[in-house]
Amino acid sequence: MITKNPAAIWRDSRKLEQALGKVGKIMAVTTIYSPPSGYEHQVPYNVAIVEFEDGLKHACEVVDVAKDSLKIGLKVKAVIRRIGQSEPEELIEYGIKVKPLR
Amino acid sequence: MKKKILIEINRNSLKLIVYKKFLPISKRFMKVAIAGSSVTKFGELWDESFYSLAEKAAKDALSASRIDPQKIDAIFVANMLSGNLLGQNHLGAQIASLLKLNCPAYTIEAACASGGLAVNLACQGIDAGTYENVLVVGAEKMTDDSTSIVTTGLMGAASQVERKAGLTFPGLYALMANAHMEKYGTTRKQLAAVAVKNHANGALNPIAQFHNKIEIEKVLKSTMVASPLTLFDCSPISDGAAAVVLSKNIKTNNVVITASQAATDQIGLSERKSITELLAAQLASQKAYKQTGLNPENIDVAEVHDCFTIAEIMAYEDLGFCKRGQGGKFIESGAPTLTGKIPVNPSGGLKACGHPVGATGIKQVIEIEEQLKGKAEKRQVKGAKIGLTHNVGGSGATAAVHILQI
Repeated sequence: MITKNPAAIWRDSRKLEQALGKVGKIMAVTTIYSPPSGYEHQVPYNVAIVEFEDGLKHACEVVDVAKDSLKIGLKVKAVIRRIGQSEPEELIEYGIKVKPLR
Repeated sequence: MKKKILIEINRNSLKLIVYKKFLPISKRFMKVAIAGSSVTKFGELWDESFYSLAEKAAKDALSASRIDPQKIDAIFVANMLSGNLLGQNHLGAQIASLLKLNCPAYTIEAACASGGLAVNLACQGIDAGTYENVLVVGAEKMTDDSTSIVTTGLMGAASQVERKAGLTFPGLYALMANAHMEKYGTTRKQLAAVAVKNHANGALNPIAQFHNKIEIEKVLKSTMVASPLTLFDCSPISDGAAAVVLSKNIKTNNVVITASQAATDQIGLSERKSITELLAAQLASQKAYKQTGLNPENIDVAEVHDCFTIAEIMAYEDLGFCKRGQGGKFIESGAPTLTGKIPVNPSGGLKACGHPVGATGIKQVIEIEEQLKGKAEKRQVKGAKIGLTHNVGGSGATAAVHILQI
């Protein structure tokens, strides 16, 4: 299980600011139909490897995208979104996802 | 690394002695005998537990070796998920307990390459002179839990970033497939052909999880798991165990391990130089070829890590069976079929034989052993004398390669 400890979520969330708003392009993409625990409610969802303009590469979910436009080379921007699912008593986790750059 | 050569001057002649211990491991000559081996049935085995499977494989391998169990110097246990799925850690002592042995026992975890890495460590121990006889046992019990729990457990082999992105192992390999198709023009049909070949081989293997032959259409039309990979592009969730007794004493008719190599790469796919090849597999195989002085052309039969169809296509390229980017055409040409140029996965591979994670790398070694001994019956590769195994952990962060000869 991935820990939902508030301290762990807080530690990871400190890095989010640096990534927000960065622009990049999709290097490879897939649509997941058989999810791990905690992601069942999102199926199907898209995950890509994105190369950002600063050269960093990152695996992240692609949101707000039309199926036809989802392909290698698509330009995207990093946005903050909710990650996975939390129980009512758990902290809601946020992380970086990407959406198409308009 | 420079070879350190010690020269000894004898009164009558000049003897050049290359002291084994001064050579880097990748250039050292290795000879480790497979004294005994055993593999259980793979599949959804409702009447077998993790413990019963591991015990059966270990005891059968020991009796096949005719080595007194008290003369086993160490046990290496390969497993990935027993902590997650059974709550059972401390596996070294657990297996030693089942066998009523008191020798040192170690647990090796390297995701899906746990088995290959355990064999690698055992070979090193024997080669270094630390042990005379070693028992290597790999086992996994995966079918008691739901797919999403097992999928989550398997994601322990990936990076934290990938887990949070909601990726799965089919998802990671789907990303590689997507990039390989874009870069080299590999087609869906070429991917499917790998599953068709491996099911045809699995149908000839009594221990295989699946004995049904399939057609390309069936692969293409099966349920989508992570696009472009469908259910039939993926290896199954399986139960099973495999064990080998390795020894420094080589007897007549023993198959001998002549190269045992491993390498690693970035655990996260996005951190790698390329996502259309596995650097760790290339490094491990190059070291293995160097260790034996062999080339890819010398390999008569290979068991490769086809956890997904794209993985086998990349394996052809990483192992040098074909040129980079030509993996799709290689399967299309029929070269890796049982009667082809280099038969690959005569056991049915992970796809059809099954993939009980910790057992897989050891099962590959046993399949090659049977092939070289000419005991593979209906799936026998004619005249095979040199075989190779390729076992990959995670999405390619660990790779173990062995070369076996008779």
